[in-house]
Amino acid sequence: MIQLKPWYEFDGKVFRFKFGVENSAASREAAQTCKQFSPDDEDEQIDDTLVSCYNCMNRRWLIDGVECIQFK
Amino acid sequence: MNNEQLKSWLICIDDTDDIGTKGTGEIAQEIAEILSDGEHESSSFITRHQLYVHPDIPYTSHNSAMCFQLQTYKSLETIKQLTVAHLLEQSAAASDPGLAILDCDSEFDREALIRFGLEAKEQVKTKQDAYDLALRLGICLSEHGGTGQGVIGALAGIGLRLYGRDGRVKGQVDLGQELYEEGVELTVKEALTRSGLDIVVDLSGQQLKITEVLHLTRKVKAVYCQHQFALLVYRHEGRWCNALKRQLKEY
Repeated sequence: MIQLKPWYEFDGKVFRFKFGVENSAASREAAQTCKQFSPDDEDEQIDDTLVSCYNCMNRRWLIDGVECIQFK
Repeated sequence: MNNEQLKSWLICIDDTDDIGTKGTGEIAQEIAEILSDGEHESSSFITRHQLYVHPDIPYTSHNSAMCFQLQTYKSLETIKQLTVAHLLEQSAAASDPGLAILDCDSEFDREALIRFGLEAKEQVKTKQDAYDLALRLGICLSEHGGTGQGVIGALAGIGLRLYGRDGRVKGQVDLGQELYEEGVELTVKEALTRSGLDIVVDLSGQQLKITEVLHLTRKVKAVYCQHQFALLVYRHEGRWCNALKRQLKEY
């Protein structure tokens, strides 16, 4: 998961996407580099471009952000 | 000939999946098909209702419930039996499924149920909250594995469906738009006839006239608003275009 380091940071609890929940461009860039990207059900996707962390099965929505659960 | 009365029900399930397993929406679709297999029986589109995401709430990745309306001759006992059997068969091992069934013709405190649904989008609710309300309103609420935490979302999903202004419709609307790179142009009337949807609305909730022309491309999704199944559109470069996913997210 080293390739995702520019987009995610550990906040003490989870690996959080640095760019919030409205930055599709960054979400797509991150997903393009990720070997673990796997699309969630179409009903759960929120970005019109498929390959985007916001659409990934391995993202988890938080109150104020999104985490990647692939980081361990 | 069936001597039973054709009745209307709202059915909602929640917390049936895990990462990489069959989604709750797909399981809801299968249940809807099983329950509406008789002559003159039918099920509506399924709506997906977003609930609160909070560290105190154990959800897989998005915390949403799936709800549909059913018209059937089947009794509550049969509905529940068939639904539970399918839930037990299809739910993920690590899931906490909940099921809520509402007899739409029964007397119940509609406002209390809607309030519960709206609160479950912004607050942490407990299983006890859900069971207490279900008991008071006479709603069939049950859990089927794990912690049974899904009862909260299942009850909330019914409240949100009754609210009439929440939820995206499961699946995509196929009006032939994906066959052509440039999409298709249809009047509102044609789009509604072909899709089975009720209305076309813009982002402010204004209904479009049936003579208006829509420019539909790629993925087309519907939402539930004004107590109807609606195709959401926005004005772009002088044309009515199907909503983008980020616009649908509001639902």
